[in-house]
Amino acid sequence: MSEPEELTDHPVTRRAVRFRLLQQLPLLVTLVVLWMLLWGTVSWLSFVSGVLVAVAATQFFYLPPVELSGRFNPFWLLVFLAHFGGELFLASFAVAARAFGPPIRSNAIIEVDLRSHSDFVVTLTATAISLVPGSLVIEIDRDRAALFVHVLGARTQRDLDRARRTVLATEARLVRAVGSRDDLERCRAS
Amino acid sequence: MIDLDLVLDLTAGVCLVLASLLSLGAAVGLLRFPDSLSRLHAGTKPQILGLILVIIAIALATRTWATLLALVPIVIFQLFTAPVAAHMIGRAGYRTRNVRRDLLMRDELVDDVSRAEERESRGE
Amino acid sequence: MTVLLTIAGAIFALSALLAVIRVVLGPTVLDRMIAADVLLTIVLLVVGAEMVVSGHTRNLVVMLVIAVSASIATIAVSRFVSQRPSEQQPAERTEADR
Repeated sequence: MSEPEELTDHPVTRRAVRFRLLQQLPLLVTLVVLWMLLWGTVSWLSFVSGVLVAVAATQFFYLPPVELSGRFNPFWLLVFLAHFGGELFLASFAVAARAFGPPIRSNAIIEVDLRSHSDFVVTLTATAISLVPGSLVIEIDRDRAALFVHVLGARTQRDLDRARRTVLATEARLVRAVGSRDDLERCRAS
Repeated sequence: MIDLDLVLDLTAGVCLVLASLLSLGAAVGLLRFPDSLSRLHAGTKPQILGLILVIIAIALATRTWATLLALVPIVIFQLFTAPVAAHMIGRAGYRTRNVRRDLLMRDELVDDVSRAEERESRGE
Repeated sequence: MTVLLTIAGAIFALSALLAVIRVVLGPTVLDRMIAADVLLTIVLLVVGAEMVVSGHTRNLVVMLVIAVSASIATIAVSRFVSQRPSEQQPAERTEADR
């Protein structure tokens, strides 16, 4: 962790600081919007205090900046969200019905190697997979971008294949929405 | 207009019943599923969809935009914190051998963990 | 409408009871934590449902705080469990607990 205030005299580091601020801009905007939603009012007071709090939070609780790919496709994001909502709805009731059905005899843990190695895409994929009932990410190998997914009630090889395909399809939709061009090529190729 | 009000209220009621059925499913799953990780699956579902249903019900019952805006952060927080909590529990459960291995028809993590534990014991 | 609300309330109460049973049974800390999490979620949903019944929005902040703080406890407990080697034999552990 460096001390940016002391180094800003130097022109190179000043540019670095400006770059870092630009990189954190999406995070700052999100934080300010969240702050205004929390207060439930859209006013200058909530906006200014939100900016102050967001800057303070990102400075004091410094995290490595999220590396976005710079690509963003709103249409595919909508496709992803619609698909995710549908899966969430169906899977929730499927698991609830499962609780009343015949007892569970076997589960499985499968390894799914993602094609994208971007932290952002891997995190979003893991979050989406864990949110849908019936599948749960219990371990992530960051170097290989591998997710270890616990599949509830898997009994045959076909169940495993289906779970693997679901994870990869979720990743592909996310890559189409926010992934980099390289990842997009890799998803198309496989 | 009275009809519309009635329909909205009824929809809110149906949402509440669905949410309560989801939590009943979760509770029954907690009792009937065989090991910690399976029970974790049962626990995660009223957390998201149940909450969304209740929030839709609140929005339908009050019918103001301000309420709806105040409800959005609740869902956002839950969407981001619930999977993290579930992941931490799942990880702790697996590492402390709280998984019934005889129930796992396939375990592709076992080699990976033994490798990681070797690394840790070597002090890296 | 009243019928629907009564049904929902009864089912919520029943599921909270079942979750409490799992908290009591255990057998491991993790099981209790998962069940307590479900119980807290049910409380969250009931707080929301009560607002629908009474037609006010004063408890939105309560819902928000529950939603935010629920996961912190879960994460803390799971970290605690994975650092404690004695949790690795759940069967013996439960007998000692009682």
